[in-house]
Amino acid sequence: MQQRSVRRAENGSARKKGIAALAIGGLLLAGGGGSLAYWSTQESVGTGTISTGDLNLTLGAGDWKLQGAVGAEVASVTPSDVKIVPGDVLILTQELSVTLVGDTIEADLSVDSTGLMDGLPEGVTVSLDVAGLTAQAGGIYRLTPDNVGQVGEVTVTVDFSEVTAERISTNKTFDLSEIAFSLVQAES
Amino acid sequence: MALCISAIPQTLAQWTVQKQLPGGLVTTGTFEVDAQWIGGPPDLGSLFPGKSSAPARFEVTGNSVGTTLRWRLQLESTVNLEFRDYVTFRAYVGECGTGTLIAGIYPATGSLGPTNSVSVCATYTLSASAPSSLQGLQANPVITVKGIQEGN
Repeated sequence: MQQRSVRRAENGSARKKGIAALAIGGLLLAGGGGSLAYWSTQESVGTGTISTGDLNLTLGAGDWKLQGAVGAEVASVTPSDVKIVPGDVLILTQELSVTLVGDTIEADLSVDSTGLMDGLPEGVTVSLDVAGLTAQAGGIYRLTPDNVGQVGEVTVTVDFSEVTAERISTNKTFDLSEIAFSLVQAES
Repeated sequence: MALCISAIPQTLAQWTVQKQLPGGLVTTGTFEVDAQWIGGPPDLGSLFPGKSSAPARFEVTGNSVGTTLRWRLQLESTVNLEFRDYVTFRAYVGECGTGTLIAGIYPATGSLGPTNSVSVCATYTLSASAPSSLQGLQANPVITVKGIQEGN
């Protein structure tokens, strides 16, 4: 009887020791990688939805005509079918739709020929005209939501200067698809 | 905790849109004129005061390409310096003396098409007042044929 009691006592001590050991281990783990928690609270501020604006450019119908150095204007030409000479002017009348949406948005409309691999032949220039608007330096038109409605039909002129001398720029080719209408959001 | 500030320069991104021009390839034309003796280089013979040389006939042909190209013919002639005040150059479209006299440029009104050709007859006349010091000398005439594009 006495032995049993002793054994129980011993077992109990052993169990107590085991529990104590576990508890210490748990404490150690917590101390190695835990973060402190502070009180926090949050609340949503309701302001409704926020939308982004829009900037876009779409082309409608376009028509080329050729005003030669001499003779009458030739309407509805296909540029790839003609051979231009000094004094010729190819004129594109193009329907253009500009979308500008934004409380502070402004954008610059121009014709960009920097995409031409070999540039324009000497004596050839390209320019844009938007009726009713005044171009800034470089032939750029500053558009705002207030004046964008005036952009309907624009004119692009490909001018082969009549003062191109001797045989400069004979038999040269350039691709109109490497020239683009360009609309760029203005910085200021 | 370390705070890092980015020092990398950045460009602002703006909305852009581009649309290509319609129309495809555009090609410039060419402009050339050719001049050829008719029946070979002429033998102008000898010049005497008050007399004209044998006719020199040549054909001028446009060898050009251009949808709206029109051109006119311009003729100039030079001789050695000592003959300059005593030799007169005349050129005609057609036959010498009876054709259309080219007064510097032909046609005087209107213009020629890219591949039109013109038959020209030219002569040189030595002035009746030419000094005897010119005897036995070579005049060495040179005819320059120019094509001039017609413009507004």
